[in-house]
Amino acid sequence: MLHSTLVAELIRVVGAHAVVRDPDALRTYDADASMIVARAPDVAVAPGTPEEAAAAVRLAVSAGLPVVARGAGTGVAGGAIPLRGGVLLSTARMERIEAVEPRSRRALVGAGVVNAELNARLAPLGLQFAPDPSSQKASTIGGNLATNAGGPHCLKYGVTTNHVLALELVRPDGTLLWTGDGTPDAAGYDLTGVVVGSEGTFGVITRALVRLTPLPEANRVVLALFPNVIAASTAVSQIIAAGSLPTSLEVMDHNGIRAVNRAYGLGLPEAGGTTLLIIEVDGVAEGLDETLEEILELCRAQGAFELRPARTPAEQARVWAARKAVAGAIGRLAPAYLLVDTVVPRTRLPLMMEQIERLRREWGMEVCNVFHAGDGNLHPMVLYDPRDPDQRERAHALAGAVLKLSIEQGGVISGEHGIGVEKQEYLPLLLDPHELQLHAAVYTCFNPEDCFNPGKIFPVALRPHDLAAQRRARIGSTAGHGPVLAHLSPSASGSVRNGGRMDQSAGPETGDRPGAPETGANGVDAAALAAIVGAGHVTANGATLAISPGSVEELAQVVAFCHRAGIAVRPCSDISHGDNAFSAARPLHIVTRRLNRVLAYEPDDQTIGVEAGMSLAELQALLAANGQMLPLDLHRPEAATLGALVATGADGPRRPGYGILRDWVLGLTIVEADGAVSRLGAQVVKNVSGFDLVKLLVGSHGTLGVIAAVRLRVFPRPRATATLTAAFDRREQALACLDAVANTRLQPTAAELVAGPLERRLPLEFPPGGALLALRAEGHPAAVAQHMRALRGLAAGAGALSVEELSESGESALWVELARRAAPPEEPGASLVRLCAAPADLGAALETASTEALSRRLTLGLCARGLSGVAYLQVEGPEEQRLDFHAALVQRLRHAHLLDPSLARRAAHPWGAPPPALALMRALKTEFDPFDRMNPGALFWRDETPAPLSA
Amino acid sequence: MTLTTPDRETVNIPLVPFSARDRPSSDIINTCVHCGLCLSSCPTYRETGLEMSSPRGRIYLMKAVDEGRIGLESEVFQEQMSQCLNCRACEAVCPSGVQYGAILEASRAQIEQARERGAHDPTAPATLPPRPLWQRALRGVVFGALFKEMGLFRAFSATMRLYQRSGAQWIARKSGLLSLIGMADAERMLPPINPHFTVPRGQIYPAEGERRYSVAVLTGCIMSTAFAGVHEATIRVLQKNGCEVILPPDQGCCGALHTHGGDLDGGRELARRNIAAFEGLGVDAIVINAAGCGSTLKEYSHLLHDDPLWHERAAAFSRKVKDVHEFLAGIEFNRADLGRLEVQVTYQEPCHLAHAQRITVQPRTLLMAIPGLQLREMHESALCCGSAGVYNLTQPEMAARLGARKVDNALATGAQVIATANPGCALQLAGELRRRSEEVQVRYIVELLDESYRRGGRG
Repeated sequence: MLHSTLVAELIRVVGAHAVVRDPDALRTYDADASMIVARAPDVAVAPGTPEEAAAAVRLAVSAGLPVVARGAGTGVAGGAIPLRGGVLLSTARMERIEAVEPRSRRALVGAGVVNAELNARLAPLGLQFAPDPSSQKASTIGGNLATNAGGPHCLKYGVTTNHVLALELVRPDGTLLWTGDGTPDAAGYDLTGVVVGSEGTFGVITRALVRLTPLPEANRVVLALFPNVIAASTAVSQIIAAGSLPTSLEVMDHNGIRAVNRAYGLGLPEAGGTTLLIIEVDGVAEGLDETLEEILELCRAQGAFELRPARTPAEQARVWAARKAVAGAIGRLAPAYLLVDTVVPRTRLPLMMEQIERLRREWGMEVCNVFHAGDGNLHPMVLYDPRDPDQRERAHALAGAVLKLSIEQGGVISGEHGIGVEKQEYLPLLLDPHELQLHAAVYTCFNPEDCFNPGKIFPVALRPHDLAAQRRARIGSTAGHGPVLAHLSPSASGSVRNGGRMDQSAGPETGDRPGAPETGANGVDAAALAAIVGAGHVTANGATLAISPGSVEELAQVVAFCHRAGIAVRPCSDISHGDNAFSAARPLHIVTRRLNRVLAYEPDDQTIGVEAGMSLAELQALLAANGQMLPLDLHRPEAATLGALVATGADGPRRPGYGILRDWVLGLTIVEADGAVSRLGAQVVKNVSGFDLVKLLVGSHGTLGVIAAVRLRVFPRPRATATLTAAFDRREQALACLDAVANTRLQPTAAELVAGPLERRLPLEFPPGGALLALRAEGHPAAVAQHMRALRGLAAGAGALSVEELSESGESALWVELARRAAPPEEPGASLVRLCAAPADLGAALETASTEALSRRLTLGLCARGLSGVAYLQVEGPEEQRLDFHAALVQRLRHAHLLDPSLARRAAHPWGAPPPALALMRALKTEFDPFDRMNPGALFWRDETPAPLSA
Repeated sequence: MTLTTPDRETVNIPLVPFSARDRPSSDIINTCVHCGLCLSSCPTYRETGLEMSSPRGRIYLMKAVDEGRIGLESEVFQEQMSQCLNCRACEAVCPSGVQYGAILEASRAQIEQARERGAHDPTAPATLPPRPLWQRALRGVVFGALFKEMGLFRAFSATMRLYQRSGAQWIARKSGLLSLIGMADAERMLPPINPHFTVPRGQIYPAEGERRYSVAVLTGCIMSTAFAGVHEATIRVLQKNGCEVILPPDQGCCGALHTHGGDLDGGRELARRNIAAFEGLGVDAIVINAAGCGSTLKEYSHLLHDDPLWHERAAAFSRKVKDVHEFLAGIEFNRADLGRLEVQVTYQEPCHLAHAQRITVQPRTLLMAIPGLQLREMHESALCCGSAGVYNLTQPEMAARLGARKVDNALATGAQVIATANPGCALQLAGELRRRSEEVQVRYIVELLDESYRRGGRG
């Protein structure tokens, strides 16, 4: 296609006003805030709608040109610069806030919506989009998503990925694809999670459904001044260790103070060494001052010589404006800077500061330290003059040394800005060759022709398509010959992505294998397996052979053996509710229970790394000994391994307060299909160093790899906890009460709705046809007391028959019992169904479920996360009726999961209606596991055209 | 498929670089670290979504000329220097403190100077083709005569008043003649000319009650004819606040149109005249009620920084200049005599008040001091309304888009009055409201204060 033809076509699609073709004008797109200058694009286009964006991509791809998406160009890693020219696609004009749904706490926004504008629109509703990158005044939601942006308030609220429910993406063929419909806990791979942070290489993000968070009722901001940066870092480390969860802990050294002092009228001392720590706490009003005072006491002990509160909203706004302007204000100190963005475990902060100071002296450079200290996210900015080659070289050498040091300390090379161009050559320091190959494999699923933002993230010499091909060759060359290979031969592995099949019939029938050695119950060479793990750890149970490896190495050897032998594997623990594997292939069962060691636990970091076979109960005991916890309350925690919980994406009633496993899994060690051991993520709380593959594994049901180890964020045990129970005559009253709770700035940590037949074990009473609410609050005793008072008032206002406040043993007993109601029933004749809906639609969804149950004469008991939109239904009655009930829910509500392995075999859609992105999920599965040996048959839908998503 | 792009390297036209006189400062240009925080504050970027129409993009274009990668002849460069409203919203949000207005005005001067050189000798190196003859003639009349000689300006204003009152306007509008010559939009901006002009002849208006301050008022050009009523209100409000008010003779237009339009020398000539006119009065402040003039007066010292004879005098002058809202909010403001005004008001922030002078709180403080007045904040109150001096004439399309956006935001508040503090904004808003046949009024803050004092006086 001629350039002029392409330009004419683009103008036809988006209009002449939105196409830039003058070479002088195109030059303005050759750099972003990194100041790394690339090529000017061949043409720039600013579509106004997702459809226009899709058409522009289609035209660019058919012209053989790459597409580079750009939001506001505020990134500092060179993510938005066109390395190879092509079409620059600016999202700036897709700036519509299409819908705000306060009750569901979500908003549908265009990729070009400016973060601060969205927040300005939300504030009058008492809501916020929590990620607040320093660039938020100009940066766009699309850009925030692409880099998984952080920000000062992410310490409490989490980074961007924790606030994205679904996103719309332009695919290489110029079609638009939603990664989901935003319903919580929808089944299937978490495409949303893996696209967030992919830096524009997975397609152009055009719209997103983002999660909204209530604004806090009150907050406090204090500026603490320390004599040096090490003292400030030590204070931060101790504040985190002490267990209070501040909203922000931001450090700014004397250079940072110097850059912003005058412009923002802060009037802070600028003497060498002086370091500012900005502390913010928020929540309900009561208990806030006490919490703050405890933090300030720790600061004083570390030598803080001045504590200056910012009392009025205007003062606070000025402090935050100044903090967020530092990078931009560097222009007052030097013509350029190199921003390092590493993350280390929080206890290593003082050490890192000492090392940076040493490096600064060694290289004779000026460094400005301004960073998200609470997250362990360092931002030393190395100041230099780019016109001086010597300075430039020293700046890069210093930055490189900080990166290496961070990796040595268990950290990562980017926490929130991404790899882009600036850090691409450092990626191999962090990732092993086969880990790079895995990242590349996922890249090729989204970006098969290298048409989106090419040349980024991966080192220049390691092209992702080569890496992915190497991985296919690696797995293909060692794969054993099972019947499955009849249609997936290793020589054809380069093209298996589209040819793979994942229905249960694809499992290998190993018994048919000609010339098989002496076989065990599965047709497997039991002796060879025993040689790996010891004879005592291979057991036959009827037709099933199970093996219990004792270490990650043994697990890897077992998987490698099976790969060579053409045997499918199925990881399992004693319980994995929701694991619906119904494989006809009789895979080797790998019991992970013996993998139960602690890998890394420094309590003050508030993270832990353990092997995947550790049970939840064992983990909780370990954490409890250090005053910590994982806020996941499940039935029979002694039987649930962490690997299984991650694989099934378990949730607990405390999700309104703390989130779900998806939010806490920082890193995983997995054994890939051929036995290669790969680490995904790391044991630090922020990470944008390569793709967020951890998200793909959470809820993947063992179909992508065997989870061998889990690294988690953990939480301090709350100072106080209490639960208010309220019984209602009618369910609508309880739902109205939930609406009222959602409409306040209270922060309950759980809001469970219980309805259905009353059982003796439940230490509660509510009338038949009525409902019970259990509302929990945790934190400072005064804050808990304020919650209980307020919640009591709301319950009374909604017409509660009786209200009771529970604490200590009564409270624990209640939550143990409620956890049982969300677990598969033990008695025969009953099944568990999980129903997921947007929170605002939960009431209607439950009504539908009741009607469908009633018409089939099924008994229905339910337990719903009332603020989150996830309900667990206990259905009792004839098997056919239960199956039919589930099918009806799928038809009417899409997201109904039949968590009953025996029944699920017969269900048309045990995981709900097929998702619109099913083809992409299949492609990912095939790329991870080209021979379909990882828990074959689990999770997936039978082949059929996915139903289009209704808006 | 292959792509063919025009190969720029083969086209070898010498670039027109910045010349030494009034060269945009390389230091200021290089203070920009390309962070992009200015983007969302820029009206033209908000409207177009294009990087070249953003402050960062424009600075990048200036940098390209500064470093010799492109030249002044670049159409994109010229268009962007013209499309910029010089509203300086970017300056107010810039963390690095880039003095954008200074480099923009210098860049415009560079273009005009290269055109002037081209007019004198088209074959000389480093010139641009001159503007068409009619444009040069118009610029000559406007910049060189009308806005330099207040006598001429008043005569012109009187003619315009005659046009409005005689029925000629009615005929011109109804006949379609204006549309025919493409002047309909511009003509709509023509303000109803006040019957009395404010002619500064050295009048002294005494303070009401105890004299606390002595102030001089710059009457300017359009404010002294079209908006003479606003001057009268300003004088009365100042008197109510214990000020003796002097209108020094020999003063003229502030020169904002000249400096913003690339005629820096014309601006300097006017600056010198005004400095001389106000020097030696011994007043406490030089008060100005138009935002655009105020920011120009405060920047005389920058405008004359290369003039050894005038730089110090300019600095002394600029130090005394106070915007009327800034002045009133900074003294013991007379609240006691304010009477009730039951009205809902929204405030449109003039760019040269909010961004160039960073005066945002004081106008609101004064409005909220009026008993009964409800201030309803509009969305994007600090985004330029699209007036920006002669912008309506040079960039009519963008001016109209921004005017409509502003009025949409203002009407959404449900206010009956849009308060502002600058003639350009007042004309732009009134023109757009008239186009929509809206009843909403546009008033200066001092007019509302004046009315409130009058009611207070009655009550």
